[in-house]
Amino acid sequence: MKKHSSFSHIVSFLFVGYLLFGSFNDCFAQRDTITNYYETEQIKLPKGLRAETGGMDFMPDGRLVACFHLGEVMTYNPKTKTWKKFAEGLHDPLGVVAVSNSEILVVQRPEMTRLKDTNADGVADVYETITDDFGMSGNYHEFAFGPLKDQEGNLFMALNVASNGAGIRPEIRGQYDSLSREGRMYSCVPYRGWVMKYNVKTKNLSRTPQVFGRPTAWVLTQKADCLFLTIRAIGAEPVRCITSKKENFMVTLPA
Amino acid sequence: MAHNLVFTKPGKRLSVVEAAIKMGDKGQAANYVPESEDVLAASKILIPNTTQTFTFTAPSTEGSYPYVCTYPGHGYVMYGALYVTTKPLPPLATDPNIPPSRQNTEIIVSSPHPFALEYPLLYRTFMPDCSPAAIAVALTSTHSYCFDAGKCYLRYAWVGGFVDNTAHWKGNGNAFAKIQGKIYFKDNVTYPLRVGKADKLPDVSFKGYTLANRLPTFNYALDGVDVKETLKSLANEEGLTRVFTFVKPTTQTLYFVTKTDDGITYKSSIGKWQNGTLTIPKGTSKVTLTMSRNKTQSPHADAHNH
Repeated sequence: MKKHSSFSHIVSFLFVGYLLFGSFNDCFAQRDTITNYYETEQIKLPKGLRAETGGMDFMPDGRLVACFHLGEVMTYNPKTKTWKKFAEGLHDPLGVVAVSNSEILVVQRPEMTRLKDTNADGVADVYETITDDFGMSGNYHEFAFGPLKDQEGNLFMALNVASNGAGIRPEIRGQYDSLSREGRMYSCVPYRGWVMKYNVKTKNLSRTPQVFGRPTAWVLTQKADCLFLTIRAIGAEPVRCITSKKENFMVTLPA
Repeated sequence: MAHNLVFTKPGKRLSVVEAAIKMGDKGQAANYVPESEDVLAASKILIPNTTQTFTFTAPSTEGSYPYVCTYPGHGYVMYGALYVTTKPLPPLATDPNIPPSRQNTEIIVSSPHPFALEYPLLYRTFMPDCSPAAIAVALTSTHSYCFDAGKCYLRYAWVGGFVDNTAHWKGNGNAFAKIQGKIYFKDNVTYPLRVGKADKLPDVSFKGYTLANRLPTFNYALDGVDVKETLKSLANEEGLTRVFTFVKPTTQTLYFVTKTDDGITYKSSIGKWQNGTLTIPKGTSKVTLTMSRNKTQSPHADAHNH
């Protein structure tokens, strides 16, 4: 009996010891942080900027170009660490694509716009409407996202739907359709809720097969034959693929 | 800095100011308000972040009654006037009853951006009484207009300020931009520039705008006619000039339709007016339209409301 109890004591002692030793180990072991895997650098923002970022891209000369909620487009030179204004006055720009060191494309609430600096003063002087061939009901929820460029230079944009959190305006842009008004989210003017493709050759804006709620991120694959977007939609899978080459083919990936 | 507010009889500002200085050491206890028949009403001396409310009955005789701060030294630069009148107030630029430094009506607005505000200033934003594709432009800090990029025409113009986007930029964007000032022109014709027939509303297509020294020139197509439009202010904010350029000389007659009771006097560099409608002949490359505010309107009321 004595032997047995001393054995169990040893085991309990060892067990407790193991527990203590194990927990000490946890205390001393380092937790992984992002800096174990990525180099991060904090960029000082210009004074007076409300940094509510809509989109970012890099220009060929290495400058970052970013657009913001209050309508500004700013460039950042990582070598000189200076910010400069490129454009202003845009309406909720939610994406930017750099075409050259003096030309960018943005999608803002009312349209897809080309901004160009044609007189080399560093500031855009041309704000050309690439396309505004879609409706706006004036509902606040109708944001517009993009653009994304495919290999042929075609441009994709996504049109957010309206929310029943608010109504529409007495004056709208586009043909009104009341079919979906009863919904929680609704699409009462063309083509709210669709991903649209702007064909640079025909200059036409058309619907892709993809209908969505609102993309939270999207990216074109390396072969540029598949446009992935993650969406925040009620009850839908979070990742979808639209191919630009096979227009009518849609693949839905599992969550 | 300590200040007071003293209302005096007409023409008596300087004598009241000098009487206050003569009070010397006794002045402080008396709030630098001299005992004088020329003083109609006065506040106490107030230090920063304090307030005082006082009431008095304004004189009933027509005239300009100076108000001034009589703290020693201030009365030469810190004054204005209470007007008892039924006539329009003089424009600030020529008002003899305000300090010369205040005759410049420019309003300084602090910038919500990482750069100073410069004029002309443009925002695409949600504007009242316009389609959702609205463009608000401030030609100066006190003269602005709203261009409808959805319908491609000028919707309205106002003086006294620009827009306050604070509510619109806050959160989800449900709120409209707030107009600051007084609207002096509002289109009630819809699509005033028309192609081929004066009663045919055009199909429109907005093409964007270019900036020259920040002044926008809008580009749009009306029934296939490519139009460029630049709006500028007339002197003294008396109205607008609108230069319409047709990229190709027009091959059809164009019409500019106005309502004769919109408070505006129109003049045009080309074409004939009849019953408020301007006929622009074929072969036109450029037409300049002048919109002057009619004098019956008093534009000054809000210019004094800083």
